[in-house]
Amino acid sequence: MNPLIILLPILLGGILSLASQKYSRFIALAGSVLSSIVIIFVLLGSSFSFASAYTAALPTYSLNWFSLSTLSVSLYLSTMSINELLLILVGIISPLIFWYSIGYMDVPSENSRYYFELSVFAASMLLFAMSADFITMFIAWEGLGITSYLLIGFWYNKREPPYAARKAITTIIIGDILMLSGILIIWTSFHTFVFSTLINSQATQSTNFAIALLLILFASFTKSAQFPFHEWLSDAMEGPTPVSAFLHSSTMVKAGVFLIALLLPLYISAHLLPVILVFGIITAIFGVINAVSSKHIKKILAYSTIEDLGLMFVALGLGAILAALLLFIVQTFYKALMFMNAGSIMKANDEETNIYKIYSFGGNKTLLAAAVIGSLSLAGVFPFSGFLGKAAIDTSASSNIMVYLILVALDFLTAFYIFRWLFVPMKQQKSNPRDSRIGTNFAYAKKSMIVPQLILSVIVIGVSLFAFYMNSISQYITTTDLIIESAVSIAGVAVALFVFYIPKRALFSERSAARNFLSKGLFVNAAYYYIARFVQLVAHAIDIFDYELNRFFYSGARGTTDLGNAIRKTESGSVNLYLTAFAVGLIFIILILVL
Amino acid sequence: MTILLSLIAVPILFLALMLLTKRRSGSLATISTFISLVIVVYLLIFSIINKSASINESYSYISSLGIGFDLSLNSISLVLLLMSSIILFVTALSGNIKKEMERTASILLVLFQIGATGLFLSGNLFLFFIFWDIGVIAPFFMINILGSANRRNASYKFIIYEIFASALLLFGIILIYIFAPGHSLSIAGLSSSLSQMPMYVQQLTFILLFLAFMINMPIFPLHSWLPDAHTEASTQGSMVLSGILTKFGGFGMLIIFTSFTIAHNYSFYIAVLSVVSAFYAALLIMRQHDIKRIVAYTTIIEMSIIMFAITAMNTLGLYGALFAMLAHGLVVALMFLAAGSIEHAFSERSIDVLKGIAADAKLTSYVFLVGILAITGVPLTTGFIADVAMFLGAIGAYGAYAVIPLFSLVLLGGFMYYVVNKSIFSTKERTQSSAFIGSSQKIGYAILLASIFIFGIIPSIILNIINI
Repeated sequence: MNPLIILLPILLGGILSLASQKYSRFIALAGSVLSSIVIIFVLLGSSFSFASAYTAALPTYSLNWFSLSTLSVSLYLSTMSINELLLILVGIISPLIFWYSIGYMDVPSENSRYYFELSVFAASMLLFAMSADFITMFIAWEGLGITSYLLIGFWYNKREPPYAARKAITTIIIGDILMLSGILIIWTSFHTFVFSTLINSQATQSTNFAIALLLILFASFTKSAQFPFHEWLSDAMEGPTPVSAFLHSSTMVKAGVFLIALLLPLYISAHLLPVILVFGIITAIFGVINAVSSKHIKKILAYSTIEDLGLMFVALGLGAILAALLLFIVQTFYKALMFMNAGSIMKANDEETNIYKIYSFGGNKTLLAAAVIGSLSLAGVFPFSGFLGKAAIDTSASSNIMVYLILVALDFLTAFYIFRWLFVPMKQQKSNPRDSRIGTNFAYAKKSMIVPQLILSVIVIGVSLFAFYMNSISQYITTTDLIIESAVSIAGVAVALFVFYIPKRALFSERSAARNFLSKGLFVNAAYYYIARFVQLVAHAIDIFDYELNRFFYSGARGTTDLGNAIRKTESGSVNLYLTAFAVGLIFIILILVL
Repeated sequence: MTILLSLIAVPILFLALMLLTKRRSGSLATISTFISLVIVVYLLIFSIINKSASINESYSYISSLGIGFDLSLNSISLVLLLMSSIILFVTALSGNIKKEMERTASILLVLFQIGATGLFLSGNLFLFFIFWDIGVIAPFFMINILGSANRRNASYKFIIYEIFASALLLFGIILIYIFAPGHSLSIAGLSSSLSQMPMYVQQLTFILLFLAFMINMPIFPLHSWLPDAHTEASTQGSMVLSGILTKFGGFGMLIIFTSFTIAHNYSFYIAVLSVVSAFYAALLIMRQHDIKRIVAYTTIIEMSIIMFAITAMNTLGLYGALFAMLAHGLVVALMFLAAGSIEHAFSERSIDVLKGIAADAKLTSYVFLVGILAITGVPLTTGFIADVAMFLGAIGAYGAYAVIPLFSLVLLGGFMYYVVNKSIFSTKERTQSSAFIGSSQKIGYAILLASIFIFGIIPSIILNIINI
């Protein structure tokens, strides 16, 4: 079956939702569900084995696009191994997001636009999941970038979203150009765009090849929010919450990790793994520090995503591709769950985002249960699924004691900050509400927002049960790591409990100096600002130069006019002057002829 | 066959008709450009079916000097002709002209149509020069008569630069005429006649022609006519100026870089200059506040990149540049149409004052956004195919460092999205006049958008002609 059929229902749903404002949400949901069903049909019969998931699949489908002298471009798709993995994840998450959106989006006049953009976004990710060559991948890559820009800036008549969207698109466009450069350089060396051909071709060592791989790596960093390109992701919280849930779980930010995982053999042969490792560690540290200090209910989760992505790059940098993919899978579910949960809490709190001001759960036990399951999984507590990913990465780092220690420390802090996220609003519940609107709407929480969370909770638990049932985790996780990871995460939870929940007056409060210092995000935003200022200064200098250049040409033209005016003065009409000039000229000519 | 002659004869006839009658000149211009478009599309289909885009027609002209009225069509001129006919038709149809100026505007547009069509079809350099000058004079009046407040200065600046370019071009052509065997001015036979000339004449001619085309394209440091001219011209004027007029220079560059064997000696320096030019314009754009001026600067960036690709002097670079000219012409016409529509609706061009355009003019806002996507080379638009081909050619010639000019698009894109978030998708601040868009303008958007996406998704339509 032609795998492009997968895109058809969801794109059709998006386009049709433009036609009807009233039914757009159901049309889009139907499109997304149909796409997922088509995925099942396409994948039916192909056997999936996690252990071999990372091998670059041979393309199963190709389509000639265009050719110009020596360049001929075809689009290659694959639904095998690693492509299959991502396809399944997106296929599971996207209907849940559309479902959740029905409850979340309560501005009917904007529905059509929202569902159209969301559908194109999901379709881009599905295309990305199937792509088996650079050009197809780049088409999907750009589709993701543009639709995410539109979705982040969705509420463009508010104050903040346009800035957030601009930050995102600026980072994205840097990534696009880096990626395009890398792709083009690779083509000149190998005359192919196809992943599997490249990987199997025993790529030769050349400087160009290394440059191209680095360009592609940094392009992936922009999409996957790695240092120094990570700040756009936390600002992207200005978009509607379902978009955040989608963006952070299975789409967009996973694109970069996925691509590097796919191309990892090339990075191994070019000896570039240390670069990936170093940037991964830096990003994870940045993510944790920001998450510990942030007070924005969604930004804490966003920084947590940055940390998770950093950890995936750490695993890739250690060559442990399966550990990275394990975290890749489990993170999808718990992060989608957490964002949906945060969205529900915000809805009930009149869109307030400061965790020190909101009152969580207000007696809604379902929401609380989902939040606890998500937090335990994110913290990596045994046996919730998040544990699998984190412990597997610990195991892969066991030969490198420095990295291992950093990872353990990060795991501890992760458990700490996510339970801060959980406990601080819970604690708040006991004091007197200052604003009557805040925290009162829990009773009205919509079913369409709760049910997807329940499904995801079941998946979060189910994934680890499945893994234990298959008895396959011992391949990726040693017993020592199992014990250490469990101990560390439980310690983190316990410390959070003692800091934020049990004491009467919470330590590390909203106004503490330490939190303020850390919440500056280690001045990455300030660095962006100074870079932008620098470019503006250069532009200013160029502007002045251009003005002078203009003046130079102008004075040339002016000089010609002045010369003309000067000569014109000789044409005064005075016959005496003409006769004199004539005589002088005649004498000169005679003199020249004589001499 | 007299099909090429008819392409030039149609606008001349319509011009005569418009000069004789006083009414309906707008419709006459639309019909004239539409007939040309139909003929060109016919030629395109004809070439694809016959797998040959080569047609030559010759008529006697100034036989005492050995100059004929030679028209020739090849794959390069067919692509440019297609671009110019689409743009001219859209311009005539939807360039929101003031009613009292309709007759002047339409006459000038058809005059420009003669120039553009003739230039891309000319078989010898004599005709090339004549049509070049017609193509320069018409926009001069489009700025001088139809333009906005500061039109006089802008138009004089434009004409001084362009006449200077024409003079250089004329010198070059005279040199070729004197030294070519048999005084042949044929463009197709240019490389063979050049090979029999003394080296210093070749060098001198190359420099003269290069400077002339460089002013027209324009490349730094001879670019300063462009922002003023494009900003002050009427919407129609801006569309044809940056859509078609700047491609005269590009077409000329394609001719000289394929004909002069000595171009190899200069190509690297010219490449460096065009990289400087691209970044120079990309930085200058950040200091602009006028939405038409911003679009004008994108032209300098794109034309510099096109120049860069031409200097690669390999198949991918040259044909990539050709495709890029098609892409850029369509996109920039679209963006000027959108910018003109914004100016028309809000009587304002400064991005500091314009706020929340999307609330009032949804269609124009999204069209402008698509224009940005196409200019930054997003896949499925024409810009992507152009970028891929151009930079593959350039990497082939200069190695991996040839990707550097791509990064000027980062600056460009970054700034364009700044504009979008500042003026288009932002909070509406004051009550603004209703942004009514006429149906003719919607058709204009539709045609340009359709061309951008059709040639971007099915580039084989164009590439099949080139591959012949």
